Amino acid sequence: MIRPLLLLSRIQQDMRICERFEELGIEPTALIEGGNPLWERLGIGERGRSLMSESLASGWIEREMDACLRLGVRLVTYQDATYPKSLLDLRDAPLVLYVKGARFSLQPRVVAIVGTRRSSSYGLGAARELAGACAVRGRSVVSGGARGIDRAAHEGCLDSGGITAAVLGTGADIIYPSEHGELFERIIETGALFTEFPLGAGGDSWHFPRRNRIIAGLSSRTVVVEAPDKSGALITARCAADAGREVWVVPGRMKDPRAHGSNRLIFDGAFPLIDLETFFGESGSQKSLPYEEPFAGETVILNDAEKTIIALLTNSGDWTIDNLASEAKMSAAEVFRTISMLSLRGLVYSSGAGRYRMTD
Amino acid sequence: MIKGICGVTLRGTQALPVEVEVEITGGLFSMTVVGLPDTAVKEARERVRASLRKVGLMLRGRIAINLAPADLPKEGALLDLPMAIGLARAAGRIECEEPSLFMGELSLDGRVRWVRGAVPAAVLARELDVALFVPRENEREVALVSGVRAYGVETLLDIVRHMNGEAPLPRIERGMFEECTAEIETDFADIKGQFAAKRALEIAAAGHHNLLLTGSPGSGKTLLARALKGILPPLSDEEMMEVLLIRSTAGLPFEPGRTRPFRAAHHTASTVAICGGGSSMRPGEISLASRGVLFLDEFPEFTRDVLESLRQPLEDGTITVSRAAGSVTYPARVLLVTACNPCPCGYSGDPAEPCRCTPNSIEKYQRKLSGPILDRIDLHVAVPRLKPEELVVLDGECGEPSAEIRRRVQSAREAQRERWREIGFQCNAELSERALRKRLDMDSDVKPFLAETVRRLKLSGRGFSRVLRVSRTIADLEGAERIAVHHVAESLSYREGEAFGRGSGPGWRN
Repeated sequence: MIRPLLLLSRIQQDMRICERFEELGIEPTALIEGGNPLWERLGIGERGRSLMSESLASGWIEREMDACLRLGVRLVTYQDATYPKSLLDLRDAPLVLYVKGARFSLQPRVVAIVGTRRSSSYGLGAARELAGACAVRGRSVVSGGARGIDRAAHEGCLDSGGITAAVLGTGADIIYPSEHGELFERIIETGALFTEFPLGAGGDSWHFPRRNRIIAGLSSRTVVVEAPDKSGALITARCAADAGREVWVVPGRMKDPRAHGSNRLIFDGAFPLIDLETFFGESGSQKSLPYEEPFAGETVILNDAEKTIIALLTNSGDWTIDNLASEAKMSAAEVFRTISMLSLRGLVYSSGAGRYRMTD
Repeated sequence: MIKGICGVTLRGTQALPVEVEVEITGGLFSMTVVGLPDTAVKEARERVRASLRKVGLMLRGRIAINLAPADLPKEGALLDLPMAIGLARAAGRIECEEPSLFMGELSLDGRVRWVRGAVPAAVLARELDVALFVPRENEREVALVSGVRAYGVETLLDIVRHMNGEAPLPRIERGMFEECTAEIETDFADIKGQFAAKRALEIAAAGHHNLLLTGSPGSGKTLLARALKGILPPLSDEEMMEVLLIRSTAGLPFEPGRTRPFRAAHHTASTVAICGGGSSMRPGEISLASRGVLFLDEFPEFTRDVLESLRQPLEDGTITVSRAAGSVTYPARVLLVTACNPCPCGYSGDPAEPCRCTPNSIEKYQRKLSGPILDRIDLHVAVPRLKPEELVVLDGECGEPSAEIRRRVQSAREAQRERWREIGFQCNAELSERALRKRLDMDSDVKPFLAETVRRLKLSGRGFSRVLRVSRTIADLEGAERIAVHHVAESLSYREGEAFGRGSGPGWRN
């Protein structure tokens, strides 16, 4: 059974072809014997057909299965019990998943955290904190294994001892981007890497929008952290909405191009993620976050200089040391010192080169 | 001890005596120079012959000039003068019994031109206790070398008349280093705003900490680096002599005053240009900037070789240039000021202009900024480009003038010298790991604060040491004996990464 599905998967066919099989009243097992005429009736295009015959002639299927065995990559078809059921809500779910890692199945109520690769430090922090909070609550985090938000989400989850899965746009044996080797190692220790692309497939640009539907399909909620107007994260959000899943968005600043696409999702009706309590449905509950409080347990007592700086920062947006110094009538040394103390307590963070703003 | 007529040739900042021997025999005219002369020395034949004609000496016969020692390569036109004097004596035109050093390039009409290396030659003349004849244009720098018997010459005829007792030359009088420092070119008071960067510069000057300025194009990094010169303490006599020697060796014009050198190198500079070398093993920018500031703009654009080669001199304060012809050691005690953009296009984190770089290229750019050279840079500071409304707010606020800051820097330096005298350090930036662990006095609440900070910020061992060094300097600027919590807090603002707006703490809370 796996052979025909693997073959179809290679030519990027998905669950929609099963409908064709049903219409024709044949089993997918008949695919290989059926040969070219059957393929044509199934509506497979010229290029797909020639790739199929070439694959059969060269024994690609066997080689692929051998290689998977060798690399510790499992092949899971949509008929297997271990195939993630939630994926079947997608009309175009993958026929075969390549799975590399310790886990077949994820913890229930999976959260997808996606966003731009070119994120702000705010976005990275938000993704990381949210992923950590998911991990603490026993929810797996799914993302795309890319730079930026994806990476922060994976790491945030792992750092809090959670299980995370990355859905790749390349073959399971390819490390893309190349600096993520270590991250992927950490992911497969407890979680898994998923992909529908055959071994050795590179990171073609069309792969990524396509794998986004799997991210959306695997999870019960999709959170978009930061996405500019043409971001792949918006595709994930659309797939999630199409599959009837919740879409949440971390609100970004207005006019910030990095958050323009994600903010538009809010405008279009996605849930704004205003705090973790509402996201996890904990508002009103007594359960406090087991999250690191700055300088654990210490009540924050501010001295005069700190109060002045906080008052200025609360006023508006981000500030440079110079503007703070001139406004607060302090020396640069004093401002530096005060900012350091405040950021150690987690009250202030650096929002860009030489600029600071309030955490909340 | 030398005999007869001698010239000099340079090896590093050292002048070596070159004895000039001349033999004139009968026969058709020819002139040969032996003793490893370079092209400039060989060409001296024409200059020497023409200028001797000006003093009424027509050369005849076969002439051999030997420059001894024979195995030492001789270079430069500064040997023109001793060769001419040697010929004049051999031809019986002058009497010259006393061994003397001569240096100078001749022009065809008999004038003696400025040469490089007059200061090393003066030092040599003092050692050998002989008279030194230098071009008049070199007089001012030679005057600063004490205890040398030197004469300034305008033309070849001057020497001839001096030797023959017709018109003795006056001995160059000992000059003094000018006490007044030349006017500060870029005063801190002329720079609007930039309080953050100014403070970092003050700390850099006080503790001799190397500095990295990060900011978008047009944010004022170069101007700030130039202003640093004005807040450094003036050169001491000893340092002045070192600077003078290097400048003379490199052939740079003489500059009076005690202002520290400032050298800016372009990022296309080669390793030889920065570190010194070439066939004559000249000093590089790092030596020319010794005792002063070496400014490297567009720091990540320098080739990896150049960046790597900076490491050793920054560590040792000297640089040894080794070539097949031998090796030379130059001083290289610089305050390194580097500047870079936050990303290749320069606008990452800028409030107005969007950044057009891919994450990949930003990472590549910042990765070039890592590695061993960065370990030597204690201070990192961002120079943000201001939005128009922010500029307006700052209008008219300039802060203290350089002279004021220099006073603070000077007293901080004195405190450091006093404190570290017994373990042989000059300034806080030189403190070894051992001294940092054992010799820093701090308030009792600093230790727990440091422990908490290291945990929260995930500071590396090196990062921690840098924080300690800078804290010590901040305390010195305040005149405090012990490091207090607020000194450490301030120094945390200058750590690596902070300037790129990527904190190293957990999450966005850095």
